[in-house]
Amino acid sequence: MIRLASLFWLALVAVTGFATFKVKYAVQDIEDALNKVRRHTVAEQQEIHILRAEWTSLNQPERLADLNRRLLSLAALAPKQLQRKIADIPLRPVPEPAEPLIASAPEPTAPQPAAADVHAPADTVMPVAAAAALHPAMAKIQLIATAEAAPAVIAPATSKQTSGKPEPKAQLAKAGAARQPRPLDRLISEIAESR
Amino acid sequence: MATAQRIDDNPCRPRHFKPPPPCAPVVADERANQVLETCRTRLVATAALFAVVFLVVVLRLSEIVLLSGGSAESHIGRLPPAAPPPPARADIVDRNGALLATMLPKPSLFVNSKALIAAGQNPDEAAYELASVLSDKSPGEIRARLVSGKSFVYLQRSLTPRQQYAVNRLGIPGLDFTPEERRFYPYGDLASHVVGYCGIDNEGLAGVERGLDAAAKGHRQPIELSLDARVQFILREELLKVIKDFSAKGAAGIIMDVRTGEIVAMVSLPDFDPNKPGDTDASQSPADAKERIFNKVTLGDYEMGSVFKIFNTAMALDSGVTSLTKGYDASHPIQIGRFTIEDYHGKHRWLSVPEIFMYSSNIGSAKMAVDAGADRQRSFLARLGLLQPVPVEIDEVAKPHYPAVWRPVNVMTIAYGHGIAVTPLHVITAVSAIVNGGVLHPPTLRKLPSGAVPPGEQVMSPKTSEQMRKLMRLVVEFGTAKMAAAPGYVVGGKTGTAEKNSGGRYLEKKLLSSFIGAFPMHDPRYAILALVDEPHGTKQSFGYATAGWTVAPATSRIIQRIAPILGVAPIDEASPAVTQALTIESLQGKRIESY
Repeated sequence: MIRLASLFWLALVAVTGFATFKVKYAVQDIEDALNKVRRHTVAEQQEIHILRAEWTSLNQPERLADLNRRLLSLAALAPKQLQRKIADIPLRPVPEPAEPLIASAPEPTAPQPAAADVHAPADTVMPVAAAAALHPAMAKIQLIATAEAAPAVIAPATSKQTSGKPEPKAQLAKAGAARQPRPLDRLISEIAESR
Repeated sequence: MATAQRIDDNPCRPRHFKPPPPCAPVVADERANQVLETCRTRLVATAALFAVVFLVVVLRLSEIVLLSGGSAESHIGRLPPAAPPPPARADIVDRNGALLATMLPKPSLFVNSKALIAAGQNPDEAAYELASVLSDKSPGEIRARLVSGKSFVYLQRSLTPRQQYAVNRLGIPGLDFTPEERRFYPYGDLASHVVGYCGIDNEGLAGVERGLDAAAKGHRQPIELSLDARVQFILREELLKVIKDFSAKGAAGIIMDVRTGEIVAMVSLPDFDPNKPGDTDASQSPADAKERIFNKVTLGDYEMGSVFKIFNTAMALDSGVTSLTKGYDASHPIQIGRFTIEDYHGKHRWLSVPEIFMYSSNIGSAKMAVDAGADRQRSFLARLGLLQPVPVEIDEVAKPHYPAVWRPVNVMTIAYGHGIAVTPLHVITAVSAIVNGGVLHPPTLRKLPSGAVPPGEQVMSPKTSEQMRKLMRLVVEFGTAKMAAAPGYVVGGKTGTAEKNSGGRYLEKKLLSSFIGAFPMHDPRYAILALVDEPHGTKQSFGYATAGWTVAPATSRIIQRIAPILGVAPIDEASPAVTQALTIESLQGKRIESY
């Protein structure tokens, strides 16, 4: 009986000792790894710091201006290239006052039903404006494309809303089929769809 | 027998050790009892000692394991830190986070000559290789240090990271680095007067480095300035162009957010490279180091000339002694003592207050000031902060110069900006207050949280401010500053061309031309001041070196370039929003003589 108890305790001591050393070495390994990672982190941070200083010094406005002069020759932004608000940007130009609805009527891809024809121009304004707001690049294209033609566009667009109401449906459908969508139209409808 | 007796008595006797059978009955005599007692006492004492020791061990163990403050934490403390040590000085960044000043490791290279020789390195070869890396040393010079026999000789101080890498790549034994940090200004001379510079021990000696030394020392948190490096660059570039075009001695410029007092750009030319402040680079400008380090914006006391008519007119309007419909006779010069006050662009007739301002009439302004009186003039200028040093984050600020006794002649000359000398920073701070609705904000170089409006002091009525906006717009539309117009940005302002005072005499050929303006004038966002020191007329300017021909066109170019960066949208200048805000009713229907 005493023998058995001694054996048990002996075994327990051995197991505990083994486990202790095992844990100790495991912890040591982890610590070594941690040390290494920390040293790396510090080294990386220091390198980032130096690179940031170098990046800033490469971005000296004087140097960029010189690079632009030599390689890009971009001109300074003129006030007429700037619009005030996204809402101020008119949609694509409408060619004639006779068929303004047709030009801005959505192609078959758009979910706009033909029955809503009268309000079609007003409705399409919203998604396009929203899409433009979400896609700054898109907005820029629009902006440049329409900035020059801006004053000319506003007049037909407003007259269209008053005179465009009694437009017959038949003419809309006929002319809509005849017209090919312009690349910008397709782009806009794609963006509207992807949302 | 004696042995058996002893064994039996021994209390430490093992259990299995059987005593030999007793030969005779044990007699517990007195002596044996005594021995036994002694043994027990000793045993108890020893056990108590052990118990105490074990108790100590147990207590310490439980402290370590159960309570905090054990060795586990101190063990973690021995690990290398997870972040680099804080730099000797905090970074300085502009309002968009671009680095204006930072610390860079600039290790110094030294050689342990003994180790080098012991490693069997050929010193000639090593010296030749090192000379190709360390640009400014000859192989002979390096060789002498390599074979000096000392264990520590500097080869070069402050290596660049590239040089350090190259030295490491050479793999020459016996070379080592001492870690050192140096201040580095990536943008060079772009904002030298604002940022300032540091000494060899990284102590701030000028600019923000000195003014905010406490915030910079040993802190990790970067100091955010209100400056915008892009705007600063544009301002500097255009001013350099003015200096070149008009062969001027120097120039200065400030751009300030009128709603908060934040300084967005501040340039004083000629300037210097804070990486080597004492260096005189004669190739750029003949100015010496002292002149370059001088900050014209905050240290230069100038008699600003006609620019002061802004303050004079605002004072007269705010105190109610005059109004936009009243006027003064400006047909004859004023003779006072040995002074004669004349008009530069004389109209020789009765002028209304807007006309006096627009044509910059000295006579009219002087009469307006006399009407208001010395006390009103003095207290108004004091309220605008023009009689004390400007409270700003840099230490290099000058005290304004003004007469100790405010005599009638002083009242007259101060009306058009002579006989009082203030810094350009004074002027732009006061003008910001005049156009922003009458609230004076102390200028600041530190970035404010976006949307935050610092507390300000109402120094005049909003109505006066509105009238002043109209008048300043008038100057750019029809007056002396037509060339400052920037289509779409509704610029307003006032020019000033002052003769420099030297030893009590005004020098006709040495001018100080300045323009102070704001935009967009119907709802001012930014104030801009441009000043050029001793410009000379050119063919293009028809020989004129006045503000209208020198700094006004530069201001127009600056505004057109910076407005998109600052987020000021162009507006149709003929739109009702603008005209309603800026039309002067009393001038309606009158023919405005074009200047």
